Amino acid sequence: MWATPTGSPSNSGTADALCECAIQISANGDSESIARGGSTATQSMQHGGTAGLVQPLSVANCPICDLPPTTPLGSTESPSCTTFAGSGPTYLLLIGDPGIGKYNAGPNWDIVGQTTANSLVASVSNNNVVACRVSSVENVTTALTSEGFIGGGVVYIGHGGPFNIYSVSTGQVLGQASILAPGQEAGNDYNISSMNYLQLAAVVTAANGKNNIAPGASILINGCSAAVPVVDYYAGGAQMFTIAQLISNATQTVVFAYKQGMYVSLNSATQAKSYNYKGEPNPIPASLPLYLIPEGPPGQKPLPIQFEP
Amino acid sequence: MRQSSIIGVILVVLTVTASGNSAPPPQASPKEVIVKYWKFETAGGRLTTDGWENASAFFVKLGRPPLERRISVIAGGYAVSDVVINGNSADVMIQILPQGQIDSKLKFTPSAAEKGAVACHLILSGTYWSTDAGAEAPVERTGPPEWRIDGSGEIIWLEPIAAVRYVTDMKRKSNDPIVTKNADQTLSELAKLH
Repeated sequence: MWATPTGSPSNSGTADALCECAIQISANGDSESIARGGSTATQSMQHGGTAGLVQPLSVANCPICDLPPTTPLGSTESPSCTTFAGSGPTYLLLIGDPGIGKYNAGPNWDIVGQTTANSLVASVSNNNVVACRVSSVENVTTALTSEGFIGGGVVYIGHGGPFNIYSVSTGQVLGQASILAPGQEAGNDYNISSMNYLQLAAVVTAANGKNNIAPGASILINGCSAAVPVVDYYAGGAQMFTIAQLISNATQTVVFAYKQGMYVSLNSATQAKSYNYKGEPNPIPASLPLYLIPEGPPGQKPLPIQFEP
Repeated sequence: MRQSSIIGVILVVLTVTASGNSAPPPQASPKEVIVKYWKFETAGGRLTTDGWENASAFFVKLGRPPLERRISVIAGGYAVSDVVINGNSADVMIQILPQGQIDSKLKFTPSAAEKGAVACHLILSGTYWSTDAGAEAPVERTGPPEWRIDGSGEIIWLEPIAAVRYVTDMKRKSNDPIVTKNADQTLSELAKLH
């Protein structure tokens, strides 16, 4: 049933039939997080034996961790945001929902976001950072259009990757769709897909008729496999799509995205000592810094692929 | 006068004939059928013999209960959307949060992605098959046209609570140590889902 026509839906075409997702347990032992592997080397589940998925009460020095989700998730257009003031251009961080059940990332997206924000503010440019907790395509659109001019860039941190469309009768995989999943609930608006990506086009005229993202700025998708092309079931026909390309088209902005699966690491991609989650602590500490990086050999981590509008 | 009377009679006959031939509209829309079916299905509606027979009302031709069940476990939330009607056929999509699959040995295998969708093809039909109690073969029946699922219903979709009930029950009935061991591991996995 879970076999997919083009291989694993969470990576770039490995011919596996089953899950290669890894569960990374956070240090407090009460929350689980997911890092999705991207190669046949990560076929097995790593179980930590915790029973609950309780969020930690707080993470030190992580205001992003305290951003409330919209209630109920995805129901309102305005996300909750916080600003880390700097004198440089503005970067917008979009932090998705942690996920449900076996795919609950716990506080890890928030901690990765806080690590990113701290780095941007501390840089020579002293960037201004706005971080928003997003749970729907509407949240993302509002954040892109209503949080000031984005002179630096946009970074998405959250779930994503191709998902399967099954037959209700046989359970067989009928096709795939390339999505980002800012929201953790089921439903079209909780995802960004070929069905609703054009909502993001509002950004193109949001700055007094001009694009609210500066010409030199770009969008980095820090989520699984957004650069993997699939024959999109929703789009029909035999055309290959990536959600990264569709977002680039809608926003008229350069998008960078990975083909690989991603995992949470203590080190940045350039300094990583691990190939995948197996080289990271288990449990992984629920503290700063954490990075969401692609699978690949240490010192030779793959770079994101560039998509032009 | 005479000519207009004849025309009037013809019109009345045509009207009566037309109304006699037109089928009444279906009781429920494709989306309503799927919403009702999904609640029934994911709660474990087809886990019993009676429930399986009752499920034939949702299908054009529901197959016999499989000797080896395949269970797909989904998290509680779902959304029914994307209804496309084309004449006497319709397609409805159910957005789901897949969690894993339970095989006939009660082994749980996690799903490959955190999100997914279930495609349902329906047919507007007055003909369907159902099985009488104790009967072997399904019997063809006719009735007012209703939207019914096209397919044999080989796989069973369950929410975690129903899956726990199913695995617990099957474990109790089994003497196979492998099944018992798998069941314990599966119940441990399912406990994390709800």
